[in-house]
Amino acid sequence: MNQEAVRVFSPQDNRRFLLVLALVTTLLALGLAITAASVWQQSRDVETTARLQADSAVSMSFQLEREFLRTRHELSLALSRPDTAHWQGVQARYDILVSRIDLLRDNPSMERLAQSEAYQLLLPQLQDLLHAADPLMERPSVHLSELQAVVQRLVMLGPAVQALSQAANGLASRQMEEQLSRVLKQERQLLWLLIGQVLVLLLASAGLWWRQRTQWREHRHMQQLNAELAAARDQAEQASLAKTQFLANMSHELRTPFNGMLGMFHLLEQDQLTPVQREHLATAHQSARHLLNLLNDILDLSALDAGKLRICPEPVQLRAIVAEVQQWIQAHAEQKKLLLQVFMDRGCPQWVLTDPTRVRQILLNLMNNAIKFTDTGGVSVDVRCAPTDDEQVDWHIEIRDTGCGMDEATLARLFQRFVRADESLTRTRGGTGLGLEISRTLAQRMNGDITATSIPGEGSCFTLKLRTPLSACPPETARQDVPQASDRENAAWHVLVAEDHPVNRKVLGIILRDLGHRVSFAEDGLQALNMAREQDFDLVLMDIHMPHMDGLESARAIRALPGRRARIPIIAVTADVMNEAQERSLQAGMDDFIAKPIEPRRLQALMSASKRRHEETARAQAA
Amino acid sequence: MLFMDRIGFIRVIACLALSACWSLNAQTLPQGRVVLTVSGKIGNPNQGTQALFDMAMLEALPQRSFTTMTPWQKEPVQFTGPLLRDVLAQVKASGTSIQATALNDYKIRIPVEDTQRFDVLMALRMNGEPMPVRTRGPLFIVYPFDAHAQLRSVQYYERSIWQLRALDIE
Repeated sequence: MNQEAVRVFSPQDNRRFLLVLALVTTLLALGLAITAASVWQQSRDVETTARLQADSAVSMSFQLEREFLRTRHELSLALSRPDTAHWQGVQARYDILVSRIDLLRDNPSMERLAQSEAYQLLLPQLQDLLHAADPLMERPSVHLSELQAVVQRLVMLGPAVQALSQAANGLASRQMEEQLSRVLKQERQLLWLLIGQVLVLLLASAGLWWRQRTQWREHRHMQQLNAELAAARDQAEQASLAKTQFLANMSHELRTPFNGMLGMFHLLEQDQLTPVQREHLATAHQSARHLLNLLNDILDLSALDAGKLRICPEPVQLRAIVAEVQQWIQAHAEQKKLLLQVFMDRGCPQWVLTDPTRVRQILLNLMNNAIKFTDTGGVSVDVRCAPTDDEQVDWHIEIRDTGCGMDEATLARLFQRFVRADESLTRTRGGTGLGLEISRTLAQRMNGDITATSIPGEGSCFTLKLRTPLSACPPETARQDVPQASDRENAAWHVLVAEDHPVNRKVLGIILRDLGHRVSFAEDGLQALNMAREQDFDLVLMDIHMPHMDGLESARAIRALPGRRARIPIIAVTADVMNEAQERSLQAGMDDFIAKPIEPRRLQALMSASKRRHEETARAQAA
Repeated sequence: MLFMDRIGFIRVIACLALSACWSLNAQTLPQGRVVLTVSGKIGNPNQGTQALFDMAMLEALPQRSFTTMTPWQKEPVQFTGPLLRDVLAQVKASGTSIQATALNDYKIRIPVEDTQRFDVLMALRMNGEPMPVRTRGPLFIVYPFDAHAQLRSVQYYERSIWQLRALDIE
């Protein structure tokens, strides 16, 4: 695993980042707004300057001085030669001067100059002068001496007028300087502002880069983690597969000797034995059965764990299954002198879709347990059902006993793996402790459950709940017959047994002969095929694992034979109890499947069913 | 609207009548004091090569008026008088630029194009009053500064000549 610390962004981090981003953006926008405002202010300043300087104070003062001098000159010239003077011209000149003086007042361009000392000194004097000269200039030729005095005053005002020009000039220079420094200052401010903005932008982009890099790292880390996880998963799956394979192998390996052992016990039981020997044999037989049950439970559990145990629903009569299990258990109950009662709700539907094998397994387990843990009284099974709205049935099967019961703590641990009701009890009563877990898992896989209630000393009640879809009655030929113990009306058949293991061959031979049949043996698939081709048999029992040609291939080859010998019933016999073995044998064209070790009654039931189906098919084809 | 239309109609009739009158009196001489002398490329002189105008002749031309801010006054001012282009039309001016001269010998060149692009006024009245020389009269060429932003520049302020006395068409 990668131990490198990787920064992972939390939603808070993201919010904070967005907040900072928003802040930076706002800051930049603010900076830009200030910049824009400054530029606008500058352009306005420049505009105002242009407007004010369009006819600036300098030119106004200059024009004034010029007109002042011209008027003074023309007036004094006219006064020196009054007879030949062109008074109208002088008057016009004077008017122009007046217009110039007028322009010094109430003129926006003059506002700043108006504050200067020169202006404030000059203007009242000029106005005084105009006040005095205006009436005289109406008719200048009759006021020659007074006008002479006006000329004197004009001469005296000369320096003041010149001073105004100088003041205006100085003002203009100062104004220019001020303007310049203001613009420079503004530009410096703008520069700082821009530098600030650039810095903020750089910071923001650095932040983005950092974030991007961190996210990329995070992403890479996640990818690595994913790859590691995938590798780990693959490894685990492979290990699981290997385990399953091992179990399948072991199941085969363990069942083969079991088959021999149980077969031999079965044979021994038929011999003449002393009572002591018979008791010893019974104990050995019982131990072997117990061991087999244990093995079966472990195999079921591992199949469940590996997800290999499949639920295969088909149309069945649940009531028939209950009755069948009751029949099996009956002997056991009678042995313990217990009353086994089954109450069946008459209103229950006949046909439903469910997996009969699994329901049978669950019921067997629950009922077996009930009998196992009950010493006096009895076991009652109560089957009730209620239809649901959507074409389904809720089954409610209660198995109630009058046994030793359990306390709360035991009840709570009941469905856990390897938990047995009571260690001491188990010792005396046997059981693997796996049955309940398997049953409940199976029930859950079939849309149901198993619950339990109990009162110590009074008894327990296990409830199996199932939800099954309703089914129509299946056509007669497709019906999977429930193997019945009463199917013993068979005649003697000639059975071909294909089995490589000598002990198993022997056991099967004894069982079949005991059932009243004739037996021929083949030691591998090829031999079986040859025999099936050359002779007429009533039925073939085919082991799956054989040298040279295995059972599957042999069965396929037999089915490919010409004529009616191809249609012989074939039943697979194998120690593999994984679902695939069964499926593969059916796919190879075999009719049914029986697991080792072989129970004679079950074998007979299966053989009868297969035989009957074949006969029916043959009749249907003939007809 | 009807009232306005009627006024407009009367104005048009009056203008037509006046123009007819003017073209009849193409050689009309100024009766009062000459306030404007137009010289240069003109096709309708009334004394030698020049066209002389007294106040009455200018007032007889179609009068227009507008109010605008100027750099020389704090308040907006209303100017009234004939359009410069009407004055040029009256003298059948055929040049491309005008050399305008003021009483104080201020000279400025005005492109004839200006008179076509803008309603340049030869103002005779300021705020409804005749303008003596003292208030920069009697003639004042004014651009409609407030109507066009581009006119608010030194170039056009310079061309706004007051105390105008002569135009030389070149």
